[in-house]
Amino acid sequence: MKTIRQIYEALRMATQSVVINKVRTLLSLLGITIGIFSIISIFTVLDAVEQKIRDNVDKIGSNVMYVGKWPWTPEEGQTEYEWWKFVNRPSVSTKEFQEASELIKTAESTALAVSIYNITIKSGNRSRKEVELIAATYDYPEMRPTEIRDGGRYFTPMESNSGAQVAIIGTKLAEDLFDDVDYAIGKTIKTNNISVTVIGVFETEGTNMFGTSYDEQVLIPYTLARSFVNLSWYDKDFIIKGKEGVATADLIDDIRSVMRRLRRLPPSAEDNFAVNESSGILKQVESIFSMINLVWGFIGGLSILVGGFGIANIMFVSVRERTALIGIQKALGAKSYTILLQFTFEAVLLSIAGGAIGLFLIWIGTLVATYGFDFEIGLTLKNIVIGLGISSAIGAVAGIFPAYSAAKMDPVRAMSK
Amino acid sequence: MRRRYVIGTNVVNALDGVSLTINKGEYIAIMGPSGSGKSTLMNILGCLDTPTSGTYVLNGVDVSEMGDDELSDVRNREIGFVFQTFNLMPRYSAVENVALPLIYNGVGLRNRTHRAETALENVGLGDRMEHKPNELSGGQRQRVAVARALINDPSIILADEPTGNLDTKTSIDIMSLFEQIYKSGNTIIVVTHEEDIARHARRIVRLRDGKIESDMDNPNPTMA
Ligand SMILES: Nc1ncnc2c1ncn2[C@@H]1O[C@H](COP(=O)(O)OP(=O)(O)O)[C@@H](O)[C@H]1O
Ligand SMILES: [Mg+2]
Repeated sequence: MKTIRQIYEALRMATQSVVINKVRTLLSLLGITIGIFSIISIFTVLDAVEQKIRDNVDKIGSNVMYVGKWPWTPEEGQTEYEWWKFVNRPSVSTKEFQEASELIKTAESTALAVSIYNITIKSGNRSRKEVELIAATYDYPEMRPTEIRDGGRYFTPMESNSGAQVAIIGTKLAEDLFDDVDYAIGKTIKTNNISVTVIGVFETEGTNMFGTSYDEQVLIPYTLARSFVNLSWYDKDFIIKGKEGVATADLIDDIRSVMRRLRRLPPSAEDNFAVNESSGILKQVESIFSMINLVWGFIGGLSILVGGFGIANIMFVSVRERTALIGIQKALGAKSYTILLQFTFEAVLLSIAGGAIGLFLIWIGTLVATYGFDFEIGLTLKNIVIGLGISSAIGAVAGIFPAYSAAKMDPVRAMSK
Repeated sequence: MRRRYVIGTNVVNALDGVSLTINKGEYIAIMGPSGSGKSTLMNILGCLDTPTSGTYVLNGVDVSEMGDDELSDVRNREIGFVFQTFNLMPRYSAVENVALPLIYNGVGLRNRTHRAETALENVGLGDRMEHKPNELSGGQRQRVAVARALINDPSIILADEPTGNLDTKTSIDIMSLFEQIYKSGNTIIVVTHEEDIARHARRIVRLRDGKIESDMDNPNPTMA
């Protein structure tokens, strides 16, 4: 009880001192603030990214493969991306797609998709430039599922196969063209002099980890695209979703052997196609982030170190200024540990205040990102606790030395200061 | 007791064999010219310092070999200090200042405040409870210090030049306060170089060069 009270008193005195020296205090906290800001903002962004990745994987399943000319990452054992090699590879043809779909036994479903960029979409007197048009076969949404808003629908197999003039558009696009998303259904939009009827609008998706989003895209049947562009000029994605329970490696092996067979590659020849894991891009994103992490973490660590010295310094000043008072306290019966606690608490409190400012800035940042840029991100309790934990630890370490110098003061000499 | 200060090759025998017995309930003045060792003796009596050799027995307990934290405890319980420069905490109110020693004794806030208020009333500062030291006159500040010295019901009230920073009239007030405290059974040791002040005590010890020059009863104490 006696000890608890002493701790409480130390805490109270420490608080008073922190409150009194506001400006000086704030300045000395800058290092901790910057440090906690950098470290916890990485954690926060990382958590958000991880959440997105997990959401994506949950949505499409982890065993979705993309077969095409281009590997997403430098090939195994290569540090350089050998684009000159890839550019001359043959694109996946419609015929190959059809044959391979039959032959790949481990596939649950397959789709062929092509992206046509920089399309202008018109409706009445309104138009939107730089729209991405995706032409895909019927099963495509299984690889990239996004719900269609109530009132709309997906293509029928019939529409898909015959190349009916129908489209499903993103919410952002629908808003831009029709003001109200719900007005879009049944309306006609024009692209490349072809009129298509909007039969559905995707639910708002937000920007995904691929930097793309259905929100500003138009999805049309693959066969429809053939009627107005020469698809052999375009790189197509052959997308394969593996059967449940099939290991990724087995799926890849199956795809490779089928593709090599179709292309009649001799055993000595290298693959002239790439099999990309949908999670591969996520891994890439993660590796980029781990780099950013390292750099940012280093900056954060450095700031915290500087901040620690700042706090130690301000505490030494504080101890020097209050030498006489420390003497009085000791003369009246304060023990060394009471003084030690008092000054250590003060340092911890300072440091926590510095960290809290950093966390507050992050919180503002998350609000801006979420409501301003539509990138959903939140400051989690876990990260708040980590941030305050690091702050208090730094405060305690930085404060212990000045606090010790105060605690071991000789009362007579201290009082005469 | 001896207390030797060594600074480089320079050795100062601040107390050069002092032997003194002070009984409970005495009112004693320690006098002597500047540098005679008054403060050194006072620090040892107040358990702020320990003798280089010899022993100091306080209330039957040898405190001369105690460690810092033990001495803190003894100071807290047994000694009430009154300093020349008052030594109050500038940001604390009168009540908080008086209550400060109780914190180190683990007394709770309500009990502490209540006792501090009573102590302040006893020194005539019942209407200055919430004042900060800089809102009080010198005499009032010293009264706060006296109230603080008395708060833990100590064995000794130790006053080092308690009137050194006060004018004559205020000094008389403080000395009458000491008289009153003495009469209620407290032990008072006043260190002073002023004859007028010393004459309030019932016994006067004179120091010179770290030794006791004389130790006499004062048959005609000044009654303030
Ligand atoms: N901390 C110290 N270090 C060195 N010498 C000291 C110290 N304190 C006191 N002295 C010396 O001890 C002697 C006695 O000092 P002090 O007890 O302060 O005398 P007084 O209070 O009677 O003036 C003086 O010569 C003084 O210089
Ligand atoms: Mg002196």
